[in-house]
Amino acid sequence: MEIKMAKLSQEELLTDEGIRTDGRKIDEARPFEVEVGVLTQADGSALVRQGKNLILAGVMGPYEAERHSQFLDRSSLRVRYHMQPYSTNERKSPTYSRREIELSRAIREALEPAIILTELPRTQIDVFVEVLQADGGTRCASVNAASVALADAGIPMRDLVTAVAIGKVRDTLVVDINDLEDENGQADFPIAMMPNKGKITLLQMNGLLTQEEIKRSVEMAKRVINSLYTVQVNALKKKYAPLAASNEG
Amino acid sequence: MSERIEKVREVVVPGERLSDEGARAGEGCYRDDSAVFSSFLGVVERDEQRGVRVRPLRGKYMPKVDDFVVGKVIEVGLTDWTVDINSPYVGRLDSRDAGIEVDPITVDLRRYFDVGDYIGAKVISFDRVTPPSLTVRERGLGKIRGGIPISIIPSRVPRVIGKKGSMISMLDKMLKTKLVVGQNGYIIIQGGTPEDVSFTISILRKIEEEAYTYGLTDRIKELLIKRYGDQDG
Amino acid sequence: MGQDYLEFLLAKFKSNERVDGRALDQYRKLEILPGVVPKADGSAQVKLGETQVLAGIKITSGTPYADTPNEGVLTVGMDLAPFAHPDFQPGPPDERGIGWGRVVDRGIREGKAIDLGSLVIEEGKKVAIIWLDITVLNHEGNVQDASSVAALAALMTAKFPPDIAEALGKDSVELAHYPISVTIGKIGDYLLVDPSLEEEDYLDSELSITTLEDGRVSSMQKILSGALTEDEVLRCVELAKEKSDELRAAVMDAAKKYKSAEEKKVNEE
Repeated sequence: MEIKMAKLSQEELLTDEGIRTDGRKIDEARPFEVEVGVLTQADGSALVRQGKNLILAGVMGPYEAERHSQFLDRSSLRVRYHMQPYSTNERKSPTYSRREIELSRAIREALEPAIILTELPRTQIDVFVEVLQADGGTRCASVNAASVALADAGIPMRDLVTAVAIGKVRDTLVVDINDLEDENGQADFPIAMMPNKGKITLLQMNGLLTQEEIKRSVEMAKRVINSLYTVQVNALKKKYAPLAASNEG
Repeated sequence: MSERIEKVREVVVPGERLSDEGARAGEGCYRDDSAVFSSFLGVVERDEQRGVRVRPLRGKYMPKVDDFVVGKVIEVGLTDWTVDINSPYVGRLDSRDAGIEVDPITVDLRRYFDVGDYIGAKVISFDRVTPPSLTVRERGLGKIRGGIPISIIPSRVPRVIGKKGSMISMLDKMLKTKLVVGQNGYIIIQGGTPEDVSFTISILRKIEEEAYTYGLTDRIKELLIKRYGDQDG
Repeated sequence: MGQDYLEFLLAKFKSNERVDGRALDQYRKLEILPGVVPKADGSAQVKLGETQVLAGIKITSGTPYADTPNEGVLTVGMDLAPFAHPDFQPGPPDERGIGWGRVVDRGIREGKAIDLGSLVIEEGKKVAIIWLDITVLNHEGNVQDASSVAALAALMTAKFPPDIAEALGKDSVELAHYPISVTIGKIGDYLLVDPSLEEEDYLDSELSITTLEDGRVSSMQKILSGALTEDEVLRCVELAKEKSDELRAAVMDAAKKYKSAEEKKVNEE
């Protein structure tokens, strides 16, 4: 819709009873679904629904990199995050924006530590992320889709990567923020981790948080990440759990 | 309908812990502190001696020395050919490894293998930093004349071959077509009527899809008998 | 080797069969999912076999073109997602992508599917602008027809944003006609509808024909370097009419089901 969303007050973002704009509690993540191997031309792919985010990630490669961009000791990862014109409340111009460039980099750097790049010298791996519908936390949902797509492509990895954005509304920390909370809240704190390694690979923060809030945010993120990770793993296993008994004979 | 209980192999994802013990981290795994983790989406194989390994379920072909591969010529140079072997790394066939005695600079190499030709070749060296080198200077190697090319996921080729070649020898015996199977997942189907070719493709797709189930050879055998009759008797 | 495969194809065509088991005049399985992007004013995802496209519509208000002060504006965009095919590069579409977008655009525009005169809010000053953007998600052949189906399904289920709806006095885009593209490929002497990507490699020529529900043709586009006989062109036009009726019925059905489900949702609220 083309009407600008009205600015919401902190009280509108969180009721006295601790209920958020979409009816969630403060520590409740949005519905999260992952579908693996949805494309045939990509070497790996995943479709993620995280809240109203609808994000498709496709991996092309590894393939031999052009000579000028080759590393003799490792693979190079290219990430392109792109939003479709119809994905946002107001139509987005199809031209590639600075925001998309910034997010592409953040997503690349969130994924890079998880990929065993030294296994694939001289190659290139492309991760293409298309945002078909954007809600709050698109970069986190993109990381969640991309890491599953990389595993689906058969890329050697140390771990999957799982991400969630913590926010602050009405002086309260909330998990997995939606777009209303992103735009009107007091902080946006996206975090990505390698869940089995306990290591953080993406960390950005806009807003104001106390030291104590940062500590609690990371703890809250970790809890959500563990449950999102289970969904990622199950989606991969469900797709490739070998076909059970066939009915022939 | 017969009740058949299939044993299903264990599927793991990258980063999944496979063993806490001092087990050896084999192919497709890595060690971190004292534990072994999977580096791939794959199936686990545990072996007392060789330790634990993971076979990737997806992904491209990683060249190994001595592998027989089916390649497609994509470029003809002055002294060598560039060959697509379904891998991130394109293969290189030097004219010397094609047994060409004449000065290749003065002779157009297209006379031997042209762009689009399929060849059966062996990997003679590969270290990831330089391209995999191929040779066709051995019996049974060289240009593949005629046939329908198809491509399957490389990590599933071992199932097309079978334990000690059990599957491929059964296919050779019972199909009306002849198969040239590269370790890299490229397969050439030769001979047979269009119906035989279509049937062969459907059999190969089934093996690819059900590569990690037990009792696959028996199920394929049933299909072959159903189509062409029992040729054992 | 390519020759062997071509002969294999032709041998199958002779018995009216294709590699994937279809008859020559048979489409792959068609799935139409309207409303997959609720934030858009209209949307539809289409799967034609393994080919996947998504059409999304945004409707805004703005000034009309100077030479058509009493008409709204329709803009058709085409984006090829770089994971949809190894040949696709990030960035603006290439010649092929632009061609696909143009055929959709001409099919709707020349067919007068949308009465642009009905989109005027204030003559010469303010009109509704329909932005129709098509994203190719997976290219397994015949993106053209999948795009045409997705565009029509998205238009049929689109709703004006509240302020424009109020200004125009109506909720949704009204269609006067229902254009559908049918693509026919030629290999040897055989004509096959809805070519798969595998078949596209062997096509001599390809003809996309957009037909309206009354049988009139609103756009034709031949591509590839081969030639068609007069008789073949006429056979294609006939085939396009017959096949477009099938596809159109599928779009109508999907749109109808979607709308009644939406109405039910509203009533329940």
